Amino acid sequence: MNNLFSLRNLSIALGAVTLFASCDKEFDAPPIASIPDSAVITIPELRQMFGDSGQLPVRFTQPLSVYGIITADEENGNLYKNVYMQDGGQAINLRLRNSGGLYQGDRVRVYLPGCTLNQYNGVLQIDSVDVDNNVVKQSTLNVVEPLVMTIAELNASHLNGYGLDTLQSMLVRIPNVEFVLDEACYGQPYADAVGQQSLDRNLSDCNGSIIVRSSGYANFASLPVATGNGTFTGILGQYQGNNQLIIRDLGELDMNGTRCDPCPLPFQPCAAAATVQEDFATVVSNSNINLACWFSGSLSTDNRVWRGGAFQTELFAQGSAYTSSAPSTVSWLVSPNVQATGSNTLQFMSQRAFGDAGHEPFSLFICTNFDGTNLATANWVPVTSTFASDGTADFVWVNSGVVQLSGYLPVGYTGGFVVGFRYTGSGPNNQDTNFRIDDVQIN
Amino acid sequence: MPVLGQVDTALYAPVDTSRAGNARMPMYAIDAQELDASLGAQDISGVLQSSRDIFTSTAGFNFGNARFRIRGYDGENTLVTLNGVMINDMESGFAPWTLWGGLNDVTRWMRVHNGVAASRQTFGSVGGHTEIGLRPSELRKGLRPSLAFSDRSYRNRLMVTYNTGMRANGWAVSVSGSRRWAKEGYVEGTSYDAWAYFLGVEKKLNDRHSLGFVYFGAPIIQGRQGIAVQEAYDLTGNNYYNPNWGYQDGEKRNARMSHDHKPVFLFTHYWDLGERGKVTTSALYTFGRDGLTNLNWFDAKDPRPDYYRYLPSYFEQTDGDYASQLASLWGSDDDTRQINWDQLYFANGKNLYTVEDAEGIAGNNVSGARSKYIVEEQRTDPTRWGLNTVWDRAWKEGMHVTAGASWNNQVTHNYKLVKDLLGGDFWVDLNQFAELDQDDPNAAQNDIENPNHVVREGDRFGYNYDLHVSSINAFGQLEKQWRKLEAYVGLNVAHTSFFREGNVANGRFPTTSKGKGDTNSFFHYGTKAGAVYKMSGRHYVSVNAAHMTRPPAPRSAYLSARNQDGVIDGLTNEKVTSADINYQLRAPRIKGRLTGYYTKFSDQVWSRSFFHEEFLTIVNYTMTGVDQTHMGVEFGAEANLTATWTLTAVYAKGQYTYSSRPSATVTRDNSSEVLASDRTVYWKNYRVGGMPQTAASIGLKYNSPKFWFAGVNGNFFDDIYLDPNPGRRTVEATEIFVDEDPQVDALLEQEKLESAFVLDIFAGKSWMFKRKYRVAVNANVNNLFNVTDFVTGGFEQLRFDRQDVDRFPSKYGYMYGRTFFLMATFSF
Repeated sequence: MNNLFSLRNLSIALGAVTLFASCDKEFDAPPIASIPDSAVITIPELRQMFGDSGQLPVRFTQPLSVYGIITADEENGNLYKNVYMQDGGQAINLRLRNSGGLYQGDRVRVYLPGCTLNQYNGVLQIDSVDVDNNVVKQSTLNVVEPLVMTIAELNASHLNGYGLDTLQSMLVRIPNVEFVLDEACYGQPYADAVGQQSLDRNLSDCNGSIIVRSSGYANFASLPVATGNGTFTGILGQYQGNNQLIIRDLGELDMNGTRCDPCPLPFQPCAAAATVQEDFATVVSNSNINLACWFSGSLSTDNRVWRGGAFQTELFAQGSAYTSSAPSTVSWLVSPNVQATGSNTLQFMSQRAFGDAGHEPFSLFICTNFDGTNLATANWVPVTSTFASDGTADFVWVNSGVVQLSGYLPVGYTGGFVVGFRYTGSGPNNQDTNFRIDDVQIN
Repeated sequence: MPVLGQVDTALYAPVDTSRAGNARMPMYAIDAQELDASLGAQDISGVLQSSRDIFTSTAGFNFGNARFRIRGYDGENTLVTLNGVMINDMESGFAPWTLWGGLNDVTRWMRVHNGVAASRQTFGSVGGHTEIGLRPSELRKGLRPSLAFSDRSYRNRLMVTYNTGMRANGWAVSVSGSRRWAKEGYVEGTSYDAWAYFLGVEKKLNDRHSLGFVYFGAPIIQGRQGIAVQEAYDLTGNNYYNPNWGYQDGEKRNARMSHDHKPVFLFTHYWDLGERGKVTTSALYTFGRDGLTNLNWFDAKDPRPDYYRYLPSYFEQTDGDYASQLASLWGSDDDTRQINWDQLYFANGKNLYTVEDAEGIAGNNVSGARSKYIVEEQRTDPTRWGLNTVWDRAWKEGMHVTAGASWNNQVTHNYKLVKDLLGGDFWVDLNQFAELDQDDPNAAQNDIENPNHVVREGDRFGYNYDLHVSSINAFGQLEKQWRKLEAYVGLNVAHTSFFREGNVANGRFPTTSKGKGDTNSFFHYGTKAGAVYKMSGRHYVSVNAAHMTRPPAPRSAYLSARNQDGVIDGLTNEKVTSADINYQLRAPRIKGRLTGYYTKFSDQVWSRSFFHEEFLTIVNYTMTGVDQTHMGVEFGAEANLTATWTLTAVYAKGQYTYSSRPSATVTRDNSSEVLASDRTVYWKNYRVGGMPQTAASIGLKYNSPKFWFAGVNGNFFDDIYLDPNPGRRTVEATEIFVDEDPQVDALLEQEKLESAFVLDIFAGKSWMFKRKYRVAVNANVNNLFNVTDFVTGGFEQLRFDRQDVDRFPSKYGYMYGRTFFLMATFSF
């Protein structure tokens, strides 16, 4: 059985082939180089060294390391290829060869050979830091307590003997401040996210002010600046000797209190517009309405507000008490702030759906002193108009016609006003008609 | 702006041009060389070695090196069957030649039908049909070891095959195994380790019934070659510069390792109905791994050495000194021009990091060295079932009927896993681009049910989904013979459906990333007909024509299958219409064929992902309504000058063009935002790139009666183009210019590559011992004159700067220089 013999051998060989083939070669980790231990220099000593050099760049060749805690990183896009580091009562900017890898709270050793100590528009920095090669992390999630100061204290001089600012790049906290009225009350964004340009905003304590500069690449760039008064926390950046604060984490800003320089009423987070046109084409069906410059709120315990509604491809705003267990539902939708001209008009469409007999859910108002939050304290003046009411067939749009608004405003009034759309109903009492509005035009 | 990391686009069949040699697709791997030697090379459309047609076999043997493709067809246009069961990958449409790589001894008897043709196995496809019959009783009896040496993809090959033939007891057994390996192949940093095993058993039950069982597999681990921009080739003085490798602790390591192993089980029932014909029924099952590793990185610099910002040209304008310093480093320093693995370990090892609320558990903080750089493995693991039955019989009056039906089902599991943390302790499963784009903290999570997921070696991350494809079809064919005429007609009807099933929900598409997606269904059909007119016993004229529809390949149908379920708008069947006319001569001393063909593909889809310069984000660029027209002539002739001298001449001249203005849609990869839609792409009459559209060969062979032969082939290639980047051929790209601006021409021109001539020689001798044992030695040398500047392909980067097209120049791949292959075969 010569044939069978060779067959058996081959089978064995094949089995071995299969076994070997499934082995997958893994690479060992190579012996890892380390950054040498070295003499340590502190951040204040670096500042001293830079002064000693006559403020000329110092290129590090000797083995020297500086320790510090990262106080601001690149995560939110407000900083790019640089981070701030603080230790020993002073701080310094680290300019990176490549973005990424250092995070707020990291305690690091920066091994200086290959780096340069220099100034960038007046800010002392360690330049050309290669995070992969110059940085050894010691620990994470360290917390640096910010230096609490007033605007006046920040704006005072803190130069050392060489004319170098010792407060520069420090993490600071300023209580009782607010963005100035022109920015805070009119919805100005932190920066130009569309054009990706940095912008200056002004922080004030009603005595003095200081710049807050944000990058157009920051992920909060398009958001309107904080509207209230409170505590600001950030890095004390500088540009050619002038202070400019840098936000390291928008969530740290605690600015919701009462302003020292109040916004004019009525307040909506946008400047008074000449006209408003809204067809609700961007609302999301069954989601609370959230439109720029509009306000949406509730005065009932169910917190029901107007929601987006959809019928086939048509989108609109809808108030409803359907399925609410609260004894009464009161939902307000407030228009953007409109500039009074003496001849303002309003036009809108309305419709009932699943109407309940005897239920009139809708009322229309105008107001000149709404503060942007508190529906109850504003002076709402009822406005008469045509709209879908009990007896109007369901699912039929009713045109309000052109409603003259000037009669509801003080004679000669030149400020702004808002229009309020109020829904009232009651789920438990089966007064839960859906009321829809669309195509709102205020001229 | 945080750091831009890497794009996870490798799973698109086509090439992401922002990465060199992202060759999920075979097009750019230059290991097409060894023909006899490697059926397993990834890029040969059919390895037509066994064809008796002189044109087809020459195209396979001599033109493969230059990426010649018969009639310019993609691999999806050639149907490959194993005992009748379709084996083309159902997600991409391509024929998986690697499945049986290294099993040449048992697969060499394939039958090749070129173009539209009659077949008693299957309906076929526009590019033809390759039947691989795996039947132990048909394999030549005996033991056949062979040994080969080469300097191409691999250096050594060992192959042993033993076939019993059909024995008296009704059993036939066939076993084969091989190993092909190279520590380093022709290209620096490439490696090759391929094994193959085959077991075939056939039992003849009685005169009517036989059963066959075949089990085979071909595990292969390969270090891949990447291709680069010309600047890198010039700086290194090496047209085979490979950016994929670097030194790790003094040893070469390749970042792009492919590791495939997909065993195949095949049962076949052969049923002889006597005069009522025969029925062959087969069931196929295959499963396994298909993996390709790659570097990935997070909040760190791009570790690829040929990233455009690391090349001297990037600094030329701003810092000439640094540029020339860098240029000299590129000339000699492997830490500069190759991956610096030790540096990656160094950076990872000291990147202490604390992941807060890991796995979404408040207060669960994980500290350790967070890898900035890892090697990941992208997996596309298929599980496949196929069932096919075909019946044919000779009928009265010269008629022959064939009918068949099949069912195929494939589930491909697409995911990534962490292959090597490179000295770090963990990786965090976040999407770096989403972090950049949005203020939604959830957006960056790749798995929102497992936020801040800490992954370690072997763990899956990134994306994870299954693509299900299912297809049924039935076909029939009628052939009829008259005295001077033979004709056939065929019809195929089929239904294909596919859907995506996401296994994780990601933060960008929380509602459409997980779960079963919409099913996309397509009814499609094919018709074909042909006839041969025998003018005499020596002169034949034949015509063939076909019209067929087919669904888009599922892999190109999705906008971003890694992220979400959505498919391209307006998915529709692709239509193919093809016809050819042939004259064939079969004289005693001269045989030849002359063919003219025309094929039109309509309504194809096209999709790629890349970093877009205009929108400054990763985008999915898709086109619908892509048409191609392929036409040309083929000529092949073989003349026996004397009893010992044979002359062959082969010529192919094609014109393969895009023939429509497709409509392009650009969507952001990380959100559902549509950045542009209905963009008209002006690429009518641009040439289809990546292959010679003209090729010619002339060969002379001496066949000694004393059992040796020797010969020479001269091969010429021309009309090779780079495939056009659609984005550059739009109004949006050119609108800021007037017609005199030089940028317009730079944007619109299509690059034609240089023609080339290469010479191959071959020889062989065999000896018989004791009338029983045979020893044969074969050798060949390809590219004898060592032509190393022949660009056989490449691509225009999809990323482009309209003011300066050269900012992201094209990447090129060169044909190997002089290589050899030497083989000794023993037959007992």
